[in-house]
Amino acid sequence: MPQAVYILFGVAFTCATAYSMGVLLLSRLDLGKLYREEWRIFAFLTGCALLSILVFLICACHVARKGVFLVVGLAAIAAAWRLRPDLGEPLPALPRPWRNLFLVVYAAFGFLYFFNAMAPEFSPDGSSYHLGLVARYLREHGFHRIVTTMYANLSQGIEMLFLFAFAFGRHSSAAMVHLAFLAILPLAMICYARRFGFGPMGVVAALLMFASPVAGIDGTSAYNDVAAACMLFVLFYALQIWADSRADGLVIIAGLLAGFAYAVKYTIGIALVYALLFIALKSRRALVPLTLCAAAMAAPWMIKNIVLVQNPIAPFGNKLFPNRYRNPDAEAEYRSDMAAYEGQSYAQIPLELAVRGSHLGGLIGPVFLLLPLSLLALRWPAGRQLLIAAVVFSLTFPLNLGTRFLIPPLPFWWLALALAFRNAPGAAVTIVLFHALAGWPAVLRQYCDPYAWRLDKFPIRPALRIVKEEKFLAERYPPYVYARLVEMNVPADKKVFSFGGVISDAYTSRDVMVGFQTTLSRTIREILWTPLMRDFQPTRGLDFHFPPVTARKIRVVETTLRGSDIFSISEFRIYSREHELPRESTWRLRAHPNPWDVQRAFDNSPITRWSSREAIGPGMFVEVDFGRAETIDFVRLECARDQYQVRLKLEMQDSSGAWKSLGDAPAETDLPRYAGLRRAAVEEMKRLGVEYILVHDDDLRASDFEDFTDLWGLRLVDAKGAAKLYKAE
Amino acid sequence: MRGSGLMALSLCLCLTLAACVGIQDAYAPPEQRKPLSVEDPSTIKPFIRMNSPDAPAQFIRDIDSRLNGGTWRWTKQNPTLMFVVQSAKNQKFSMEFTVPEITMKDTGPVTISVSINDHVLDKTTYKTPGFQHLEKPVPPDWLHPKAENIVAMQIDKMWIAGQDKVPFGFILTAIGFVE
Repeated sequence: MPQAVYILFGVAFTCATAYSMGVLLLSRLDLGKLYREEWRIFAFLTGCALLSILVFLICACHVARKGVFLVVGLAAIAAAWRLRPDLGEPLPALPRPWRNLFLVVYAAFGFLYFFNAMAPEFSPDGSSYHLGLVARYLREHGFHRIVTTMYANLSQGIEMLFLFAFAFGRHSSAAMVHLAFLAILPLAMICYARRFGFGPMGVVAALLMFASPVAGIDGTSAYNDVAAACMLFVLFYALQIWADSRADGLVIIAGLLAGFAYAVKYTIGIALVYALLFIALKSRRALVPLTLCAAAMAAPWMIKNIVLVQNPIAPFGNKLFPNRYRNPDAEAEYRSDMAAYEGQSYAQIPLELAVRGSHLGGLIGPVFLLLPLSLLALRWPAGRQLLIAAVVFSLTFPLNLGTRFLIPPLPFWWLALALAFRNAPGAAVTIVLFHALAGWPAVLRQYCDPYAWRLDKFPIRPALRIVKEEKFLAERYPPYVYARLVEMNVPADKKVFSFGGVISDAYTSRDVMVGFQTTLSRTIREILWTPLMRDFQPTRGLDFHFPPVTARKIRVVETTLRGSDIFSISEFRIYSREHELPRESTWRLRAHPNPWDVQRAFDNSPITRWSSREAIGPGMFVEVDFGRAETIDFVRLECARDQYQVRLKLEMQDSSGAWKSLGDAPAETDLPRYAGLRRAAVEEMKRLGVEYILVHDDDLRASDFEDFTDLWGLRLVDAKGAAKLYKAE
Repeated sequence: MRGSGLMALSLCLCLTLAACVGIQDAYAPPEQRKPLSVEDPSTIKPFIRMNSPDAPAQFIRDIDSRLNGGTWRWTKQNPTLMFVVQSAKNQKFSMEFTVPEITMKDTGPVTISVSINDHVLDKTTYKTPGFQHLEKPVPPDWLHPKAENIVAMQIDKMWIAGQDKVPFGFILTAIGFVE
């Protein structure tokens, strides 16, 4: 059967299953007076939340298989079919000109979006971790501990829906599930506006949303921002109706959607706070069902992280929940990168968001510059509610500076802006037509940055697979080529290390770890960088000389009050009468923080080191318990030079258990460099279970691997484009 | 409000406590790695002749493992070696090599470039075959005293030998740094 049929079946079956599950739940709830259109929208969104958590449980039980999904879907559809609930009366109709305006613009952009979503998926995040993990869950039939990518620990509510669709239609089915949210969101916005008496302005807002370039590209990719926006809006919608009707069933829906918001994206977890405050101000009694339903959706993700990586909010909160899989320094670096704006002035952000779109990854459209006018909506109660939600849901934007992270609050901003034009419909129509025109690919490319993330083509032939998927991807997206390079050359059970180059994990079944992400990958990166960077090499000796003492334990303690350097020790050597004490198996080594790596300071390798893995602070220590009394008179710490702020003291514990200082001013010695560091680095990498390295031309000192392949103990396996794959010999 | 607040708090507490797993805090010393030699001028020399028994330890790439005529080795396109010098001052790069007549007949004039630690020291086009001795002073800041110094050469045209189709560059006899 043609691949296009599988793709369409995958998305249709997923949406039908979700809707059916929503029907099964909603038909049992007291929803007050709900209109037919609202009932359907609430059923679909609630059903998505239910299906997502069901797929989560299936993954937790390690039975994620196509057959299981098929049975689940058919059972849900059959049960809902039998139920056929009364959906109530329709909403008041829209005036015909407004309906026609909506249909024309919606159809035009819908056509563009449909073929882009159905085309082979090659969005940066979608083809790497969103679908890379989905493909892995399907391959491995569920969740396992994954220590090679931090993204495995993010909540993945939408990815669970992607997984359901992926099982039938692969990558494009998943992207089309996201498209379903993009298609429904404008309808939900119009329904809301119709209910609250400003239907035509709902059309304006819906089209502003639907024709936003960033919504278009995001919603047609296997991302989750548009789904998050849809989820937030329907949550808001349900709460607004509940505020009038106080129907208990709406609290259940709101709770599920608020919890699901966390499951979709951590930053959207703010929806839970919003919902709790909204309900608490009106009815404390309703807080219980709201909390329980939200917890049912959000808590499984926390529990999964606790079980797998000992941190409920991984990959964040690693200082609060120390674990061996991801360290605070990696987290700090990631946060800083996410909040950075590539050296640009913050004053340029509005223009970047509106018309440029390169530095923040996409643009919303020139009409975004009119957003301050949305404050005029404060005149109406609905406007005030919309603006409160818009502000609350925008609060997390500074944490993650990217245009797409403004998509979730965008429906609220657009509705408020449209409401401000309630008494000037002509102006509103002009604005929406201008926005649609400005968002159309042929016009968009005339004014936006050439590197702006946006839809640019109608890939009809690739979408229908008249052009082969492999050919389309290989011509358009180098990370796909790198993924195939890995897939063709690396055995199934082997891991690949990559310094940082993007690779489409979704198109390889091999485990590729990227340098900056996890403790394991950062350790390997540091090991491979050590031969290349003198500051990483242990050429600084810190010598503590003292009269002979008899000690059971000694420790070196950091005394600097605060700093940004990372404290590390490559080798901790202890001497007695000019002879180094051999490291006995009875010794016990401790460190704080990062106790898991303490052995690296005692392995006799200049290529490895114990590191605090967080900025230095007082009380950090590395300790040796000899297990018996030892007479010692000299301690040498072999350290790298990338820690200028470190100040240390040496302490010993005597037989009484008391700690005494042995000195706080070590003499500094220049230590000789070691030969053969490159080969030693590769040997260490092998010890950590990695035999392959993917080096991109723009990686730091990439040419060294090419120039001195033999010296590294590597063999060039194959090269494609800017990437070279090496194997450790 | 009170009950649900308590419930939410309890849930958060349970999750937090559940994350507080016992951390193994003491470890025995690991397997000791084989000691690496420190960069020792006695093993890595500043200047080598191709017939020195220790010479291959300093080859990084593109130098034939076979010694010919008891004195020389073929190179390929990018012969690269490492050297250790005791001091960076007053060092001259010295290379004895031959562009054979048999190769030049096929390739025509060849250009050989020499880089030291990524700095280009020399790029010369040799239009006539025969023995050559290149000697040039090296700026001190290009060299790392008592550490690896990488000398990389490149020949622009390779000679393809007979039926085996094996590519060769030039003939190398001696190379390194002299004071």
